[in-house]
Amino acid sequence: MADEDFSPAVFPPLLFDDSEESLLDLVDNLLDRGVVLDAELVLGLAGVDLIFVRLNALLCAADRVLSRDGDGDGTSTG
Amino acid sequence: MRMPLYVYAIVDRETAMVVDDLPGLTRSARARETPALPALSIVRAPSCALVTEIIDRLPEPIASSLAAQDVIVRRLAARAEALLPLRFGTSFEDDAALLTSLEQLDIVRVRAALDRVRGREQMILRAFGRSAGADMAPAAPAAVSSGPGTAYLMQRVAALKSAPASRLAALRQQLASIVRDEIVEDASSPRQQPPLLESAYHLIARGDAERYQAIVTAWPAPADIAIRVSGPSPAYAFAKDALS
Repeated sequence: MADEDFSPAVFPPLLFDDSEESLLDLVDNLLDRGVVLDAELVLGLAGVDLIFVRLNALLCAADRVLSRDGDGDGTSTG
Repeated sequence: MRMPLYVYAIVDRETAMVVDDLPGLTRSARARETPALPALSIVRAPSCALVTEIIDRLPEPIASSLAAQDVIVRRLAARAEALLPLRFGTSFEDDAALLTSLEQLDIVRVRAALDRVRGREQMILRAFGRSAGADMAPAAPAAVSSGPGTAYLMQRVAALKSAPASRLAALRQQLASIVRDEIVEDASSPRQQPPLLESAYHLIARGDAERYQAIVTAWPAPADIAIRVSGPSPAYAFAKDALS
């Protein structure tokens, strides 16, 4: 990653492009938070390793990860 | 006949909000055959009401589905005085199964959870390190017989001991006058790039987002961290443990 200027500034330094920023919040909000009425039901039907998805959201687009790794075995090279 | 239900959010049982004009996430074949049939509907239980959609299949857990559900929940939140978003993928075989699950909920607890978010919205404040490993202290001396796993854990212990209690403490104090509720999380994930160090989830009164952003923008962040703020959004973080 390029060496960013982190000196105090009027606007917070931009670390991600807009798509990565919004993806981080989407994964955080919709996959890791929100009411859970039945934990087994949600995780079982969604079929997604939520911790794996959350971590990888910061490294690459989650749709690239999820669409090719539907078994959610949690393996990651990142 | 079983009609699988996908559930988006919990709202007040007495809600008068209209939802039948909003599109759903995965429109069922039955709904597609009958365009006039509303996609979303309200199911009322003793303790609350839920916004639901009859579905044929679960939405795929991909970015576009998450984004679409986020749009739906935001529209619902704009119409509701109080709304608790449900986690992506929440669905039941039929309304009977849904109501059976809801019978387990404590009415007092549900209403307290709704009151917590009533008239409020969520902002997220995150602190990132400058580069990968920024939060990693120099490796502490390891025992001669220790392996790489032990060495890593000892390094993490040293990092946690040397790290300030909260990198966002001073900024959170600046925001205290408009923050109504707060959840703070130490990310402790220094190997991400850039490393996420800390997240603070704030409930603010609806309409205070610009004031919130202005305070964050004006705050001089230390040289070794970068601050990112996002929102407003429905109160996801404050719904997470609301009914557990």
